[in-house]
Amino acid sequence: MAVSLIAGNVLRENRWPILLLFLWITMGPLIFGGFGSVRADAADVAFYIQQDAIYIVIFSAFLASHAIHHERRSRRILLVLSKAVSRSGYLMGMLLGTMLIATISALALGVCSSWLARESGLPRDRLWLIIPLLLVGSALVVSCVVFLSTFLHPLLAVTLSIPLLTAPALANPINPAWYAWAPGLRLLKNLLSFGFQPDWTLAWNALLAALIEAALFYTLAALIFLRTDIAAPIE
Amino acid sequence: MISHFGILDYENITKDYRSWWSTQRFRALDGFTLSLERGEIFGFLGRNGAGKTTAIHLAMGLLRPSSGDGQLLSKPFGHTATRARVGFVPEDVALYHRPAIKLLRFYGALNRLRDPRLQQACRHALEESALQAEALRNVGKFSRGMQQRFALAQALIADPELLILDDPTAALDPPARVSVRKLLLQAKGAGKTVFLSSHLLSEIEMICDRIGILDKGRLLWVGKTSRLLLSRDRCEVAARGLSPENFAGARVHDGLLIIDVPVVSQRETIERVWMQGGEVVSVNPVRRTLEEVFLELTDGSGQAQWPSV
Repeated sequence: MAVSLIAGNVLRENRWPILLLFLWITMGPLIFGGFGSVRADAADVAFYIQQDAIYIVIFSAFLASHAIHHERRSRRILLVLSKAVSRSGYLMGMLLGTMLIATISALALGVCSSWLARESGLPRDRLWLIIPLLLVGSALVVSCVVFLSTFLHPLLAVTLSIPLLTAPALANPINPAWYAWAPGLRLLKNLLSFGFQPDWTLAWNALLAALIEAALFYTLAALIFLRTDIAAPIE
Repeated sequence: MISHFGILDYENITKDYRSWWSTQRFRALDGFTLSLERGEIFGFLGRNGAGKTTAIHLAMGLLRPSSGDGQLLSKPFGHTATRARVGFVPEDVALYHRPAIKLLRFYGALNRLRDPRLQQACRHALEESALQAEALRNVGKFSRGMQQRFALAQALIADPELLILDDPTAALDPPARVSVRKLLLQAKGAGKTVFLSSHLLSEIEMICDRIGILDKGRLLWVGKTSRLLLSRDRCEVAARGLSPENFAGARVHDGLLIIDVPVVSQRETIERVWMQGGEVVSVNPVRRTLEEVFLELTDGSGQAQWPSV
C-alpha cells in the first residue's frame, strides 16, 4: 500500500513535466501527418516512434535521478520515512512512480503512432510490440539511475548510467558473448531496427536479461539506501 | 548491550558526520546515553548544534549511529512497523503542496490506517490542531505557524504511544503555543510519552517532568525539572518582625522579609534574625528559572555541576 501511495505521489509531483511530454508526443503525429492531410512514409513514422521512445526513456531517467535527491534536499522525505515505510519500499515506490509515468507516455505514443500509421496506410500489427520494449528499456535505465543516485548527484548518476549499461559491449570484439551482458544496448538496437518491415521481431532474450539486470540494480540500490543517512545534508 | 528496554533508549551512541570528499569528521553525539520513562514529558535542551536533532533522527531511523545501540518502543532504531506507533514532528517542516485533508490522509495511510478509521483520525487530528476550517486549503499556502500545526496533526493521526517533537512551537503565536501545551499535557494524561526538544525554556519548565541538557554531543545533566531548578548554593530565609534595612539585598513579599543568602551563611543569617528579635518562618533552596540554569550549565566549561540523577 505504501509503495502505491509513494508511486502515486511521484506521479502527482511531476504532473507538469508529464503534461509537457504528453503534449510533445501527441503533437508529433499531427506534425508528421500534416494534421491529417499528408501521408507520411514508413521511415518518417518509424523515426517519430524511435525518437519519442528514446525521449521517454531519457525523460524517465532524469525524473528518477532527481526524485530522491529533490525529496532529500527539500526534507520532505523526513515525514515520509518517519512513517511505517521501509527504505526498500520507498525506493520501489519511487521506481514504480517513474515507471507509471513511462507507461502513460508509452501508451500515448502507442495510440498516436497507431493513428499516424493508419493515416499513412502502414501495417500496425507489430507497432504495439514497441510498448513492452520501451517499458522494459525504461525499467532498466530507471533502476540503474536510481541505484547510482543513491550515492551520486543526479546529473552524475544519469551520465554514469550510460557507460555502466553499455560497457560490456566494448568487449564484443574480444568475446561476442559479452554482448549478452549489455541488454540495454541490445534493446536500443532492436528499437532502432524497427521500420514496419514484416520480419521485425522483439528481442525477447534481451527483454528478459534487461528485467533481470533491472532487478539487480534495484537490489543494490535498496542495500545502499538502507545504509544511507537520510537526514544528513546532501552535497 | 542495553539491559532494560523502555520507551526510548540510547546506549552509548556516538555519531560522526563525514564528508565524501574529505577525511574531516564532525562528532555530533559522543557516548550519548538516555532512557525515557513511560508516560513522562521529557524536555531535551541544548544550544544550536548541540546534537539534539541528530539524537532525534537516530531514534526515527533517519540516521545510523557510528557506534552504540538504541531502541525505540523496545525495537531497534529503524524498525519499520514500530514507527507507526510514533508521532514525529521534524525541526523544519517540509510538506507536499496539497489540500490539508488529502495530505493528512496520505500520511495516515503511510502509517497503515484505513477507512473508516483513517477518516475519523483525520477529522480528529485537524480538530486537535485547530485546522478543521482549513481542511480544503492547500498546505503550501499555509503560514509557517499553520504548517507547524499541520505537522502536529500528522504526528497525532495514528494515535501514537510516543511523540517525538523537534521544536514544534518555534513558529507558533502565543495562543497556539498554549493550545500545543494543553495538547501535550492531554497526551501525557492519556498515558503517552512526549520527547520534546525546544528552545522555549519557559515552556519546557512548565510542562516537562524531566529535562536533559545536551552540549557538544554530551549529556550534561538529566533529571527531574524540580530538582534542576532548585539551587544547591543559595537558600531563601523568610522571616517576620524585621526591618529590611538591616539585611542587604532582602525584599519584602506578603509581609515577610525574604533574605537570599549562600547556603554556607544560612546558620549565621538565622542567628542574626533571632538576635534582632525576628522570627524565622521558613528556609528553602532558591528556585531559579530554567534559563538561568541552562546558561550556567552550557556557558561554562561544559562540565556538569550537579551529579546526574
